[in-house]
Formats: sequence, C-alpha cells, structure tokens
Amino acid sequence: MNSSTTENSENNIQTFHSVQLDADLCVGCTTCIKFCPTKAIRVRNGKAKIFEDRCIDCGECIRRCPKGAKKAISDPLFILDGYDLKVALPAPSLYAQFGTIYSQSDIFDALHRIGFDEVFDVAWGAIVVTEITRSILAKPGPLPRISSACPVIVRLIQQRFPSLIPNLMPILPPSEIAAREARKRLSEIPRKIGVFFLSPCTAKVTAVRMPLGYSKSSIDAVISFSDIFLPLKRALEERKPLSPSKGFKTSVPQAFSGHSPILPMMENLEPGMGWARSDGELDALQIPDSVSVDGISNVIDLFEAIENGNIESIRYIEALACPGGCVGGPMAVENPHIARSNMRQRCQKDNLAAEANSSVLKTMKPPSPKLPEQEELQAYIWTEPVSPKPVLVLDADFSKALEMAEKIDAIRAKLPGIDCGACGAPDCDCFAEDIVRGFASIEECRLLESTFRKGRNENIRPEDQQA
Amino acid sequence: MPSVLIEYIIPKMDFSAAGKASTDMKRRLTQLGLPAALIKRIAIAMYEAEMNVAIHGDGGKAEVEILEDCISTRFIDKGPGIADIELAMQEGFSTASEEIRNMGFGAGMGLPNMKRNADELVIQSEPGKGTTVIMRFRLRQGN
Repeated sequence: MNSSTTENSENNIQTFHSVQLDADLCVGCTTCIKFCPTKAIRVRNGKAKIFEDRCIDCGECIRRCPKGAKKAISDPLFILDGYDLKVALPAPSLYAQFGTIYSQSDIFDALHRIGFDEVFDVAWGAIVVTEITRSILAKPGPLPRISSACPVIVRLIQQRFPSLIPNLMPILPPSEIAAREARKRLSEIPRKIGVFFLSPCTAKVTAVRMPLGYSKSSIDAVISFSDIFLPLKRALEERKPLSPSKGFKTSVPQAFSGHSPILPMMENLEPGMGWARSDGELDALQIPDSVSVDGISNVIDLFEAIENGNIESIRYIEALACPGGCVGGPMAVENPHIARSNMRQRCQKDNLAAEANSSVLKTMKPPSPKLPEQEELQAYIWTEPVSPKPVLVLDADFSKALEMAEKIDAIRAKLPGIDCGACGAPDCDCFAEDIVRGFASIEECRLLESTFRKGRNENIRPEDQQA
Repeated sequence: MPSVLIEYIIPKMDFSAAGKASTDMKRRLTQLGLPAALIKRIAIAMYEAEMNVAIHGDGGKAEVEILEDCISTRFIDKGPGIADIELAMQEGFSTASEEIRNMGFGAGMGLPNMKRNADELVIQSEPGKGTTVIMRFRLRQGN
C-alpha cells in the first residue's frame, strides 16, 4: 500500500481507492456484486474486479464479503515517525469503541501515551458545520438540503443523483475543519507538524487524498480504528480510569502523563460527539422538518423519492452511508449497535451530570468550545465545484448512446431475467450493458450456456455480442 | 434512427410499486447522458402520471419511447375517465377520496405539475372509457 502523504499522493490522484480487493482471499462467489450500490463490481475469471471509476468507497463489499477479501486501505501507524509534532484528530465515534468506562480525558491521555503530542477533536469541526448549516438553511435555496458530511453520499450523488448536487451543503467535512483549526492553533510551533485523522471510514481515506469541494486536504494521513484499537486499548488498560464519570466530562483536571499539550482538551463537545451515530447531526442542528437516513440502500430509496418530486416538505436530510451512522464504519472495531448505545449513554450521563451540577454551579456557565467568528466560517465553504460524474453514461454522443441502449434492450430481452449473478454481473440489465460496452460476451450467461452447447437456441447466437 | 420503447405495467392502488416507471426511466436517461435538470423534469412528470393511473385509473400501463429528438410518454388506463378536463387541470382540483388524501396524495397538483414539467401535454378521456395522457419532452433544445 501507498503510505504517502498528501504531497506525494498527487501523483496517483486518479487511481486511489481505500476499498481494495485481496485477490488471494477472493473465491469469486458473487456476494459482493449483489450488494454494491453502484454496481461497480464484476466477477471475472473467478475473482472480483472493482470498476474504479464507479466505486464510491462505501465499504459495503467489505461488510458483505464472507471471505474477508475486501480490504480498507488506510495509512499505517509508523507514518507518525516522519513528523516532529504529531496531532491526532479523533472522529467522535472513537469514543464509542471502548465501552463507557473511559472518560474523554482517559482517551486523550492514552492517545498521548501511544505517540501523539496533541489531540484535537473532530467533534469541534462537527459543531462548526452545524453553525454553518444553520446559517445556510436560513437563506433560500433548493430543498431539501442534503448534508455533505458523509463522503460516500457526495460521491453517490455525483454519480447517480446529479440533479441533487445543488442540494448538497457546500461545507467542508468536520475532519477537515478540525485539521485546519489544529494547524492554525499550532502555526507558531517551528516543528514539522503531522495531522492524523483517526477514522472508522474508508471513504474518508479516499476523500483526504482526492477531496471533493476543496482542493487540498490539511490532513496528512488517515489511521483506521482497526489499526489504532489495540495500542490504544492497551494504553487505556495500563492505568485506572481517571475520573468517576463515564461520560465525556470529568471532574479531575487533565493530568496527562508527563505531557503538557499546547492544545487544551475541549469540553462541551457533546453536540459534535453525537455525530458518531445517525440522528446526531439532527440532534445538534435542532431544526424542524429534517430527516435522518442511514444505510446506503435506504439513502438511495429516499433520493429516488426526492427526484420523483414527492418529498417536498423536508428541509434537511442527514444521510449516512453506514448503518447506524459513522459507528457502523467499515474500519470501526466495536459492534455498531453497541457503539451507538455507548455514545448515547455517554451523552446522557453528561446531561445528567450537568443537571446535577446546575444547582450548585448556577452562576458558572460551562465554557462553550470557542467557535470561529461568523466571517471566518466562510473559509469552510467549498471552494471547488462538485460536478456530475457521468460514469454511467453509455456514450458522450446521444445518438450513439441511444443506439447502444437499443442493443442493450434487445440482448436483455433474451436473457433469463433471474439476476442470478453467475455471469459475474449483478443482474441481467448490467450484463446486457456489459456486453454492449464490450466487457462481457453473451456466452458467459450460465443459464443460456446449455442451450449454446446443444446448439438449439434459435434466438441467441454468439454473434449477438457484436450486435 | 435508433429508438427505445419501454412498457411499464402500473398496478391499481399499489403505492409501493408507484414510482417504479419513473425510477427506471431515470436510470435509463442517466445512461444516455441527458442533463440532470431534464431528467428531473421527466421523473417528476412521470411519477405524477403513474400515481394518477394507480389512484384514479384503476391501474393501467405506461409506454415510453425514447427517440433522437424527443421522449414521448403515454399513460393509458381504463378507469372512469375525466368528465371535465379543463376543471381537472386547475390547481387544487381533485376527485381523490378522503382516504387517498390522508395518505398525502390528491392535493390536486398532479396534472398542473405534469403540465409544468412536460413540453407538451395531451389528455384524451371519455367518461366510462378511461384516460390516455401523452407527455412529450424535447431533447437538445436549440438544435
């Protein structure tokens, strides 16, 4: 794998995908082709093959592959060695990976002990996105507005729902905003700073290397939860939990083991922490007529309905590709349902603690995380246009495309139509299209095969593939 | 000249199936590389027409022909027909039952919406004999 930084990844900007096939493990079983939401996988010569231009890095195939032959490529931990000052940006869902015993301080402390000098929560970026979202929703625009926080959704819309591109919120993702802020706050430090996003998400690995809506990421590398889980768990277990609270808050002052970080641990990030799970973004936003949808097939159904024009009363959609939201990410370790519950309990406990404290500390308003001024928020708006990605188009010339569509229909009419997948394409429609595009030949249809052999099928001749 | 003809069966009162024709057509038109805004117009108009056939027309069928210069859609039902087409075209006019309205349909925007989105709308109907709605969408405006 390529453990390059943002600088030298520019060389392979067109080719990088986090989701990759391990050909040694693949048995060519056709499970993945059935679940790929963009129909980007075919089985060829007994092995799955991903059409890179169609893959949106959702990781659905990683979840579905019974042989573990689909992998998520992220950056290895040793990449930290190339930097003097190492900054960890934990995704909110990191806090859901270790039960509810460890407080935010415990996890901060453990991150310091495994080699990070500074920690800056992505939840802060999520709170900033909420602020910007509110201000955009106050202005007129195409409804429903769709969150762009999930990079899979942006890529799905680009490819399959281009009419919804104007509905996307043109805001940088929380991780990117957090990375820029961390760099800004550390800009005086004359050391080589490395910013590392700790992520459960394959698509965010891709998004950092090939951003959409902005030109260059401030994140140097993306470390997966699966890679950091063990070292972090070991560090956590090395010492007793710091605080009696199981939520994020802690009554104990942050006593980081020997480290004196420049960036203080931020408190009151709960609205951003909630983003770890589905509904979290809406809970933070608190606006009426909003909908949360998770799981990519549910997202597709909802987008189809919007394009058909029958969902007009909705103002805002939080759409997350993974089931349960980011806690369901392909590189997460904890079971997504348990992680969801961990996250909910943490936030509830904090609310209870805040209520209990409120009578005692009436006059002490808890400090809010310092957010940028209104005019500074402009810096977090997309700077590059997100254009449709016409990978599904048969031919740029409409007449030629129509001619191909005609052929596809003619071939499709001859196929059995049971979408068995044995040819290696997910369904008969796709197979017919592959034949006309020149990727497949009609003899690969296993159900028609016997009739070819017997030579008694009058409708289908191998020449049809040249049709 | 290449052309594609597709036929869709629209079952009576089957709300879960309604939208299948417009969704399939969107996929096809995306493959043909038509502009997103045009595809959206066609999808909205077709969805309304499908719902009309399912709700008012006792089910029926849709025929869509994709030609080089236009897309022609025809929605055919053998339902009760429309007594006064001009009245039916008015925004807010609907003969939908209370039950249908409670489901969020029957706001009387179907035909006006179709008219707004199609380049050409023709309604042929006779009480007792059913309704045929024809919508055409021009391709490559300006050519």
